[in-house]
Amino acid sequence: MKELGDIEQLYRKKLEGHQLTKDNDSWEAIKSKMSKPSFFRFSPSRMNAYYIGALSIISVAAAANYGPGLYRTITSPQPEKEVTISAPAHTTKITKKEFVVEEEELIAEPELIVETVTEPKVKAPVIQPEPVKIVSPEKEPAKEEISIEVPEPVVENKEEDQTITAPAQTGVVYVKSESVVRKDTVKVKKRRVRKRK
Amino acid sequence: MRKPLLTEKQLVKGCKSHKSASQKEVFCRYAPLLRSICYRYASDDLEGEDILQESFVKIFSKIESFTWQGDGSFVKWMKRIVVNKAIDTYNKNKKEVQTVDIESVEEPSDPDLIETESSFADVLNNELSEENLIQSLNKVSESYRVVFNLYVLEGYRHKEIAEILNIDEQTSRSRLKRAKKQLQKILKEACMQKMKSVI
Repeated sequence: MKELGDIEQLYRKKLEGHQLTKDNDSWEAIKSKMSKPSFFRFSPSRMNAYYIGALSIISVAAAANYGPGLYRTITSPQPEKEVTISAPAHTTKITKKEFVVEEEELIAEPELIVETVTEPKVKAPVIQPEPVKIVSPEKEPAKEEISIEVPEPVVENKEEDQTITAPAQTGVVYVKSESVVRKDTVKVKKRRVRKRK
Repeated sequence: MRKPLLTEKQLVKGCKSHKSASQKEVFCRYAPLLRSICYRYASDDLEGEDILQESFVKIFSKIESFTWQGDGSFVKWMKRIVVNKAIDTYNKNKKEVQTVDIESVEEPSDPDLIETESSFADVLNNELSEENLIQSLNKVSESYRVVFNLYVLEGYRHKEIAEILNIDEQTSRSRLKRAKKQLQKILKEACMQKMKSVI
């Protein structure tokens, strides 16, 4: 039992503050192990991940500003282009989708999505009975002065709606009472767009 | 003329600024002391050197968390990192935990040992070098060795060791006894070899 105690004392006495010197390249190994963490640590004096990130951002921004032609070769799906065709009767929206065409489908036509916009409802001109003025009750049979509210901006198709010819300035139309045609709706011809194969 | 040695405080400041020269100076100045600790915990020199390298990487990467508390505080802090790293390595290497009851530890009853007690003690004190003692310690079972190091050389109590190694306090005591017993046997063999070589 005494020896066991001696061993404790022996080790305490001999290894307290003991130094072990070895000639090896431990420092180089430590340096190489430390290189990775130090690369991700910001330091103004040496190149690190922050500098590389900043440089890459600057180069991308510069390329985007001064060299847009560089990015035309990118084959990613392009955003949808909207082509608006304004027909006299109605407005048709044609949405053209462009795809990235694979090698086998090079002949394929880009798909056309035809979207017909419904014509806004045209309100029939409100015929107000008053004021009715008889211009000359003796000479002429019966002419009525009817004021009509013409919704000019709503109706795009002025050519078709020929039954009412309203002078734009006054808004007063002289018509025979029998010839007033009342239109509730305006028919719209749908234009078909043929899909080409 | 040689440059005057930097003080511990200046070295810490340099390391906090990630100056390579300061880091190298710290390594050159304190590596022998810390290597001795690493080799005590390791099974062989290679493992000891690995613990040392990983400890220094940790020291330099965690240097910002160190606060100066007077001379010697930096060395104390580095020693603690080295010991923790050695314990981490032990936990990684640990494959099977040996649990020994204190009752099962037998007292040494070798008659030859008692006969040669005086010469044995002399050889231990005079002939065996520090390196011999470390090499002898390396031969002790890893789970016993780590308890021996923590208790005898680091000055931890059994309660603290039990918390560090996640074992019972009683297990810590029994492992220490086992470690001493193994060490005694190993040292005896080393002494015998020394005595034979002298004769």
